[in-house]
Amino acid sequence: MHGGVAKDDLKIENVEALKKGLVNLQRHVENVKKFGLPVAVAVNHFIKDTDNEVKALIEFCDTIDVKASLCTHWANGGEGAKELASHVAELCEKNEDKFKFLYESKTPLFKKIETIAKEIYRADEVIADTKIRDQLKSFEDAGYGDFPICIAKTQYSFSTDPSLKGAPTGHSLPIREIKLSSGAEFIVVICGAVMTMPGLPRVPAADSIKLNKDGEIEGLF
Amino acid sequence: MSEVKSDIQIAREAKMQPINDILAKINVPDESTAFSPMGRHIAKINLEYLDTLKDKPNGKLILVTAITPTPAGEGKTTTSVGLNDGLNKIGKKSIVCLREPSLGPSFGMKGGAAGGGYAQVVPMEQINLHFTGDFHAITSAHNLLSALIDNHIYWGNRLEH
Repeated sequence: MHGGVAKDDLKIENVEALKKGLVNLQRHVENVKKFGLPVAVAVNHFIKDTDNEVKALIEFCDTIDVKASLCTHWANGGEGAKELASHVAELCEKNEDKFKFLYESKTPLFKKIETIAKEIYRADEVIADTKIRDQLKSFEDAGYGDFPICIAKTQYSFSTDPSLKGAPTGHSLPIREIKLSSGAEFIVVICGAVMTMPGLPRVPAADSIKLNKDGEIEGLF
Repeated sequence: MSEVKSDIQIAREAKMQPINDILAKINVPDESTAFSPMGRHIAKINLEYLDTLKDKPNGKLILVTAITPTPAGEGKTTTSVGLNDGLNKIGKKSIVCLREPSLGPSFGMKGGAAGGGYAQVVPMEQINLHFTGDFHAITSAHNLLSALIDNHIYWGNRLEH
C-alpha cells in the first residue's frame, strides 16, 4: 500500500514494495520520538504475510534503532503477543520519563499549527487566508489562546492529499476552516478536502448486517 | 490451521467471565460506588470512583498507534487487545482502553470495530450495536431537539416576528 501495491495484490509476496513503504513507518517512529517517548514496533501478522517480508521489516527496524516484535495475537491470542508485551514492559520499567509536548500552551495559535505541519507532517508551509488568521486572532483575544490544536485532515497521508503515500515532503497545509470547541477546550483546524462526518458508501455494510434464521446477527466483523 | 474462523464465530465461542471478576483483576472493588453493572458482561466505572484513586501512584500508559492507514487495515484495535492479553500472560496487571465503535462507520464501511481473530473484545455484537446505550441516548436527544424545533415552527415560528 505505502509501497504502491494494490489491496488485491497484497497476498503476493513483494519484499521490494514493502521496503519502499517503510519510509512511512520510519516517519511515524521519528514523530513519536519527538515527544520524548520510547517506541516499540508491533508487526501485526496477517496470514498472507511471508517470512521474507517479516524479516525485511524487522531488519529495517534494527537499522533505525527500534525493536520490532512479530505478533500473532490475531491467530493465537495473548500467547502470540508475549514477545511484544515483554519488550513494552521493559521499556516501561526503564522509566525514561522525558515526555514533552511539541509546543507550549502559550505559543500563538498559528505557530502551533505551523509546528504540527512542519514537525509531524513535514510540510513546508501553512496556507491560511486573512479570514482564518483573523479568526485565530479573535480566539486569542477571547482568551482561548492556550488551547491545543486538533487538526482534522485526511488520515490517509501525512499531507492533505490522500493519494500521497509513504513519507511526503515539500507539501503545503491549506487551512479551510477553524472551529472552536470551547467545552472540550481545543481548536479544530480543518485542512484540505476532508469530511469530518462522512456519509455512507453506495453499498454500506448495513446492507449485509442481518438476523439469520436462528436469530443470530450476521455481517458484523 | 485447517479452516480460518470468522471473527463473529470466534466471538460467539468465547467463554466470557462475569465483568466483576474482570474488574477484580485490576483491583476495582465489587461495590456500588465503584461501578454499575449493565448485565453480566458489561459495566460502567463510576467517575466518582476515579477520585478515590488520586493518591495512588500512577501506572503506565501505553499508547497504540499505527502507520498511516490504508484500506487493508493495520489492526490498531486488534493489536491493542493482543498487547493487553500478552501483558496479562506475562504477569502484568493491565487493562485495555478502546474507543467505543460508532454506529455510522460500523454500518458504513467497517462492519464493526472490536478487534479481530483471537484478539477481540466481547460480547462483540453488543459492543458494536448497543453497548451501554449511551450513544442511543445522544441519538434520542438529537431526535427530541429536532422534534421540538419542528413543533416550534408548526405553531408559528416566534423568531420570525
